[in-house]
Amino acid sequence: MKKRILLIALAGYLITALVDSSKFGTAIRLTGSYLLEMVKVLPAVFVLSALLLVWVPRELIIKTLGAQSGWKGRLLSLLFGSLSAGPIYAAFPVAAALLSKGASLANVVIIISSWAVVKVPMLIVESSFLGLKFATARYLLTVPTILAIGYITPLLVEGVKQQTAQPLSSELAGLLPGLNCGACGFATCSEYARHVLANPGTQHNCKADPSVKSKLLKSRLPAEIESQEVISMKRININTAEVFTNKRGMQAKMVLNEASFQVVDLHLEAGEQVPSHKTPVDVFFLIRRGQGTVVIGSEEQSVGQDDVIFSPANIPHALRADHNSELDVLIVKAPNPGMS
Amino acid sequence: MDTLVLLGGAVLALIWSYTTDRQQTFRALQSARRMFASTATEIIGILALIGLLLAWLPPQTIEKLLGSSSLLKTGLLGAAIGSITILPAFVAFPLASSLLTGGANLMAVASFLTTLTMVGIATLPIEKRYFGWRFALTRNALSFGGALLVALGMVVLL
Repeated sequence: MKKRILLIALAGYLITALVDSSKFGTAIRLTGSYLLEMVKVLPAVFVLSALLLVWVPRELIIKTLGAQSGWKGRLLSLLFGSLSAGPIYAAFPVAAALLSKGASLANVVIIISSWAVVKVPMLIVESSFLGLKFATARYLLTVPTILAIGYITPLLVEGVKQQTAQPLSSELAGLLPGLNCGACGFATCSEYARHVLANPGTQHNCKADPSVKSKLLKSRLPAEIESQEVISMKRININTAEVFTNKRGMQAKMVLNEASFQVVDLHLEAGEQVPSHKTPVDVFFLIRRGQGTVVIGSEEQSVGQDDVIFSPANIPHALRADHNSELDVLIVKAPNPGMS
Repeated sequence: MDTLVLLGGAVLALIWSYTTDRQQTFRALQSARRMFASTATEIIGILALIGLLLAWLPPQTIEKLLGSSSLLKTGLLGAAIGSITILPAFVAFPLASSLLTGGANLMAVASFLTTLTMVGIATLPIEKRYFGWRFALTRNALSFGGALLVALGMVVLL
């Protein structure tokens, strides 16, 4: 399909060259000037769209350009479009990126239209050729027309959306970049989303935003898991974690104490030890720093930094720091013995 | 001028992004490259077609077509020609100016200028890739009608 247009064009040039060589020259010259404009504008436009997708938070776009943004959103869209450079097709990737980040369809239409028509430098050129009165009258009439088109388009487009066979829920559509760039191997983002939902193990990845696949799959989980998904990231630095005194009177740090597991960080001074004891759940130790000895059941081994040692439930285990080295151990117990 | 602003903006954004998070920046650049690669062939083909079309439909022919004085007919014709062509500004404005001095009516010239940039029949395939047929056709149809209204308004005002 993409190549077909180019092939048709090439065929046309061939015929033109044979029939009328002066027209062929004109066509080449015109196309050359268009291509120059494209090369000047498009790379910058794509870079800006991609950066926008990566950096700009969805909430910000929803707030400034979303459905509830009102007149402020409309004026911002108008300003944004008229300050941008390039032909109308350069507006599409940017507008699509904004749409996927939560801008309303109306504002997207306003951006595209004002990108195409409302240009301050063009206003100056226009008035020099056609007179100030002509140019200002056309601009003054065009701006409200653009706002009206922005108002009407969503009514017509969204009214029909509901009739399509399998529409993606707006929630799912919101996860997609909406670029329809085709890099994943599917023509449109929605086709890709349907494929992922039907084949969770698929190897196809969204190239614009690699996190899309996992987000889509997560969206299939029950609502209660989804709601936990919303809470902010839990990030704990071991050095500043809460200190508590464990059963054996040792100072330890509670890193994580979740329903399904418990993570504790233990610091042993040189020569200090945790005597042999049993734990009712599976445990593993991660040696973070230092040298020491671990006993699991009847086996004893010396361990060092980055070693991970597994200790099955109800098997006696012991830990000891070497006499010349402190020992930092991260202890993970699952399921959490304190929660059952 | 505004192209320079755009380029400068892109470069500044890139520098900021790079100093903030290198990996994110590389990811963004990769997806920009893919977006470019996936649409470039289509855009080049379309631009080549428009160049060809304008070689066969030179400004003189457009001038002849829009020369008549029937308001509605030339208005529609002007909007239609503007819809299928994309003209660089340095061609479009002199052409519009010579149309007006040559006796073409305001309606035709104004609707031609407005649809020239706002309605793109040629760029429909690109618009469809990003927004789907429904959106692309609706927006272009409404813009066509809007351009006629703008032109009519200018006839009334001027």
